[in-house]
Amino acid sequence: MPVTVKLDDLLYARRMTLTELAERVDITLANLSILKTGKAKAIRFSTLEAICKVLECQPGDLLGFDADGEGA
Amino acid sequence: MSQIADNRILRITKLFVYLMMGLVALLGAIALGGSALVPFFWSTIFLGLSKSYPAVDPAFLLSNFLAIMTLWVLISGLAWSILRKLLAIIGSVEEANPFVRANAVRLKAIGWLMVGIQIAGVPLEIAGSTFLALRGKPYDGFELPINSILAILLVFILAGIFEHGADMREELEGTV
Repeated sequence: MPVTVKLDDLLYARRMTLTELAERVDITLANLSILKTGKAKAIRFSTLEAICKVLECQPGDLLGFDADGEGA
Repeated sequence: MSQIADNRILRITKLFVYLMMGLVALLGAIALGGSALVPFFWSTIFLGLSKSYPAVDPAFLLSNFLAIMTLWVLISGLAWSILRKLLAIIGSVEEANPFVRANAVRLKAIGWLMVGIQIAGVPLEIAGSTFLALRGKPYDGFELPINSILAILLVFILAGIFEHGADMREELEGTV
């Protein structure tokens, strides 16, 4: 998918683990893992809002677009 | 368990499918047994028939009888297969998980099996007309089975709906 999720980089920058984020945003670790590994097909605004609130970032910091990516 | 899964109609349908399976198996076994045993007793049976219907040709009658039995075994097999698939679909509804790709495939297969039954029904009707002719009832000719055609089309449309439902469900599962 040409849309990439940069959750890994953001977590690294904030020195936060996925488990910690899951606890703070109240999303299951399994779902966050799906998002982190780029297996998610869609993301709800509520999820985006919760993640951005905890990681103090903008949706654009979390998502990227690579036109040459797989399935483009 | 969802409301649908707890539905009485579902339980009644399942029971009905089991009853139908029993009936189909019985009829199939009778047809199979008949086609295997009747040739051995044909001369005795034919003696009885020839008293009532002297003009009848024994070889023609036997070949027609065997054709009917063979077609009946084939139709029983197709019907059995339909009922097995229907049972699997009911099972998935009971588990509140009907929108899966397997059900779309099952419904498509049911549609084709129904087409098969309709096709096998044509020679069966023609072969059966021989016996009707013995009793003085002429063969009316082929009638277009409108209800069956509609049912088959409905099953194919349902298969498409299930395929679409499975797509939507997969997308929903991938939504975080």
